Amino acid sequence: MPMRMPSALARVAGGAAAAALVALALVDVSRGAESGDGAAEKMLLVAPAAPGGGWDLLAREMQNGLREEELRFNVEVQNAEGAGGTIGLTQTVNRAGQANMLTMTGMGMVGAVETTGSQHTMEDATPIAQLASEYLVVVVPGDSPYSDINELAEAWKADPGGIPVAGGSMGGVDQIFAAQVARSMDIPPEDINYLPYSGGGEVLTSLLSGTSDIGFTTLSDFADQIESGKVKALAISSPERLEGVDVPTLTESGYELEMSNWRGVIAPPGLTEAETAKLEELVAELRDSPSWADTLERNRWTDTYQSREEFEEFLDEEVAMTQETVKELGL
Amino acid sequence: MESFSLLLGGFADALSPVNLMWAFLGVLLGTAVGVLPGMGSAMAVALLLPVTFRMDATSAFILFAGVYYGGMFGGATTSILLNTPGQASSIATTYEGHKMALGGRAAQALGTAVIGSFIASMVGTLVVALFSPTMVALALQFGPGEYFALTVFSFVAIAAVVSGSALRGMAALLIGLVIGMAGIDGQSGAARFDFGLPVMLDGIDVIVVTVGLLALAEVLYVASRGDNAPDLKAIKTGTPWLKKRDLRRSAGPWARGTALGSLFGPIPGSGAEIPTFLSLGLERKLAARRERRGGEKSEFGKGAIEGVAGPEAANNSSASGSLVPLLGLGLPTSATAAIMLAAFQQYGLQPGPVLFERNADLVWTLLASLFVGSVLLLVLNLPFAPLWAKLLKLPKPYLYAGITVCSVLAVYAINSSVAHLVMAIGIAVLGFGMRHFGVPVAPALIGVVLGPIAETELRRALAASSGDPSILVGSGISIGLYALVLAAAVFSAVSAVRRARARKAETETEKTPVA
Amino acid sequence: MMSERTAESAEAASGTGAEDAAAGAGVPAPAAAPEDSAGSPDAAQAAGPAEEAAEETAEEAAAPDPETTPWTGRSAWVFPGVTAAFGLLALSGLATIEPPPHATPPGPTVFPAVVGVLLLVLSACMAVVNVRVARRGPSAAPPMPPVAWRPVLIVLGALAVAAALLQALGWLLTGALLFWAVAYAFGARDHLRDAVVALAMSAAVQVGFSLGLGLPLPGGVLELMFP
Repeated sequence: MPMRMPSALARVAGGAAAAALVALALVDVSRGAESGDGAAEKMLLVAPAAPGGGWDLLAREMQNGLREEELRFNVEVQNAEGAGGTIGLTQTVNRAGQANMLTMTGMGMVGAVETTGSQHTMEDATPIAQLASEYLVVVVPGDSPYSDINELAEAWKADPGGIPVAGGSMGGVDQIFAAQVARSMDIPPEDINYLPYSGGGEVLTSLLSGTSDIGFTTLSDFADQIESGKVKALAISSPERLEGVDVPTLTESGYELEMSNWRGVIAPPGLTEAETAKLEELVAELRDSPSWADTLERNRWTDTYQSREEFEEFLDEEVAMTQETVKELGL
Repeated sequence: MESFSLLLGGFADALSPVNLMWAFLGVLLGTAVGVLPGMGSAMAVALLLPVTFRMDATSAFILFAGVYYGGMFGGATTSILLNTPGQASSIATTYEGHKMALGGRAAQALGTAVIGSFIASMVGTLVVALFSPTMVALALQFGPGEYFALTVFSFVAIAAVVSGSALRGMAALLIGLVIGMAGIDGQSGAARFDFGLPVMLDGIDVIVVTVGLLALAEVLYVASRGDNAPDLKAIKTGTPWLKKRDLRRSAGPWARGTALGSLFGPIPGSGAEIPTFLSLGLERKLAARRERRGGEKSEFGKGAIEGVAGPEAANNSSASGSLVPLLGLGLPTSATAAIMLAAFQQYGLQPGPVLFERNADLVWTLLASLFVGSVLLLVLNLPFAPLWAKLLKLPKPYLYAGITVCSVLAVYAINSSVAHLVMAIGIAVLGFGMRHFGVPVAPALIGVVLGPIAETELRRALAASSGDPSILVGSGISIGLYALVLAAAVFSAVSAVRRARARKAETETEKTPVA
Repeated sequence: MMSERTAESAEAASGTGAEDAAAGAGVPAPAAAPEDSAGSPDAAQAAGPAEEAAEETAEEAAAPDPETTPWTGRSAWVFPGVTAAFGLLALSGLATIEPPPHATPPGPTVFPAVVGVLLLVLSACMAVVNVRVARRGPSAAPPMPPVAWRPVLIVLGALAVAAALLQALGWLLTGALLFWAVAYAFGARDHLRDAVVALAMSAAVQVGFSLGLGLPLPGGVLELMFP
């Protein structure tokens, strides 16, 4: 260490070492300042969740895909977690006019905008595309007395407050799903006894330890547990049965409900048409690549790609549906 | 003995030169990051998660295993040398560890920490490898009522260890509870104490509290002492090696700490704080008893090696134990485990009962690499313990400036947000005030960590039972825990009365001759 | 008793001492003097008497446990005040938290209210203890240790400035500035060398964490150097 050496020579050596470090640091700074063209253009992906969260995973997959397909080399993922994703939304809106960034979004953000009273809403950002979906399942413990969704509906209707049900956090996708399922069974959503947990693992433990009787959750979180027989899946929210998943849909069991935990990307507001079209094209190119096919398969995501126009319409519907449910739940 | 042969197969994989290199790199990186003030193993793993993206799964997990264990040890280093633990599970170590360092026995403290960590992680990992299914079944006995009982038990157990003055300890704990309440209430979705700021909706991150209350507050406190602060640089780093006496004294604490950690580690939600404090309290009691019975004097309060050996062993065996719910249920029980879970999902693996069947290779290689990681940690760090102790020889201005810069980095790294930095500075001022007025800070941090768990579980229990409080004492586990709490309370009340009487008698006998 | 005057004089003392933080002060601890921070290798050996002094300081630090020392003087009321403030804050939740209409009892306000009441009770108990200690007279307890406000305020100021400037100035400069200021507060006076060490430290973090581990650190104004 430089400060331990007494002689002038050592001082010079220490100074030189420090200069080298600073030079290296400046190289790093310059890397961040770079902005090239085409594939060399810098790209920023904002994950409005902590490292390891769902949106973080989507951002990392996109980062990797963009690099692997040589669409963009300099891709940075930035985490902006907080308040169900609305912190990330606000950051995006505040960067109005920045044409080289995409923010991950999804059903959860739509719900969080409503429940946290966020100052910015989905309409403030520029929708780019929907990328993928996961479907939701109604599960019960393996030794549960309910063997199909109708039996469960009957018991639940008889005593909605007395049957604790488990799912993800308040105002999140799982709770909205639980409320929708209840409504399709003619159970007032505000009467259900919903226990919020912070993750799929906790919901599983809650079911297996007998704390709750029904779970509402994303299929991929539970696929292995369903296969092992620890829990039974009684219904799935997809429009049709999924390949390789032997679970009846809600619609075929007579409950009018289709719902997906979708994920997509949005951009800051204030972009020109050309800028927006360029982002849309970039995402479309990525979506058509073999590495994205691998991503979908590995994460068990269903490809529900929607281009900008479709996605914009879809978003409007989702926002309206969510607002209604949130109001009903009194959140 | 099927698991045994599977484990041997895992070793064959883990010991391949490439994987060995990853393990080495992991331990090195983990130690390097963990040794920085304010950063523990969770931070180290979080930083490395993106780096390992799309690395071969086995290599990535071996790297993680190394980082996990390396970070644990690195955290102990700063606790002992600088009194700035990087994570809540290292707090218990500071009590005696830093006093040992001040007394010129830093190298011994580090040495006993390394060996204790090694023994504990070996035993802990072995327990995970052999008894995982049984332990998962045990963990599933815990519903919200049991969790709540466990947190009550923890509060009492920890209070018994840290309280110099019961009033101040209680106040610190309750202040911690208030800090922990900030943000959206998970059970109802209502925002609490957010002051209308969106950044406050997620509450105050535990890292912000840890860094503010422990690292930055320590810097402020040392600054406030001016010339009265203990001069670290003038402390003799002493003989570098553990003496026979040190080893003899450490052996018991290592074993007991390991057992405590293994017991609590697999219980979801309990974290490593409980066993470390229990171990510290237990060793202190045992040393006092030994002294009463005419054995060696208890060195607690002056830097007792038992008070480092026990908590460090507990810390590490509970870290291994927390792999049980992670691998068996996909349930993360610590910040580090949560990031490891994310890493699993990144590879399309869903931890849970099927993991052991479908990805048996990976699981057993991971477990084997945990053993390898422990050995590497020992090999890498035992010789360096005296060298680490030399850290104290750095000029004090640079040492504390370095702590400050690292703390700021640690807080900023959470979310690339300056708002967190502002919160940390506020909490540092609070922590400095507490230090100055002799209010223990550990209970405050425990309140921040365990308070939300206690509240959530209580309310969850009452919600699940539709408001029937009998759920709180609905099982043998919770009744047993409450019985322990009650017994401890009665015991300490009785001994307090006795002590007061003895003191009174003493002062009276003193007075009589004067009168 | 720690009157305001002693606090002031302590501040004054630290103010004068700050020119040369360690050397002139009461406790003979030459090892902390700046020349030694300069780190001549013989400093450690030359510090023979310092080692003894240090042992004393270490024992001194351990001897009166500050956690059981009663508070005296006016500053004795600070912590009961802080406790009460937290109690009131927690109780204010009854007014500020809006529980959703269908929240299952106990709702989000119950815990804060209970904790708030307990904090107020504790604050009252501390006040009672304070009054009792004060009645026993000034000799009943050792005085509170003096606070050297100057270095504390420099460190706090440096932290505040760092938080304010981090985005604009970038990590490299902010980190170096913070390091330099804290080192100054702790008595480093070899300005040039301090600056070099500070820059090296900040650069090392940038290289290790941003270049090495991919943690995004703000570039700030330095990015303007690279159009």
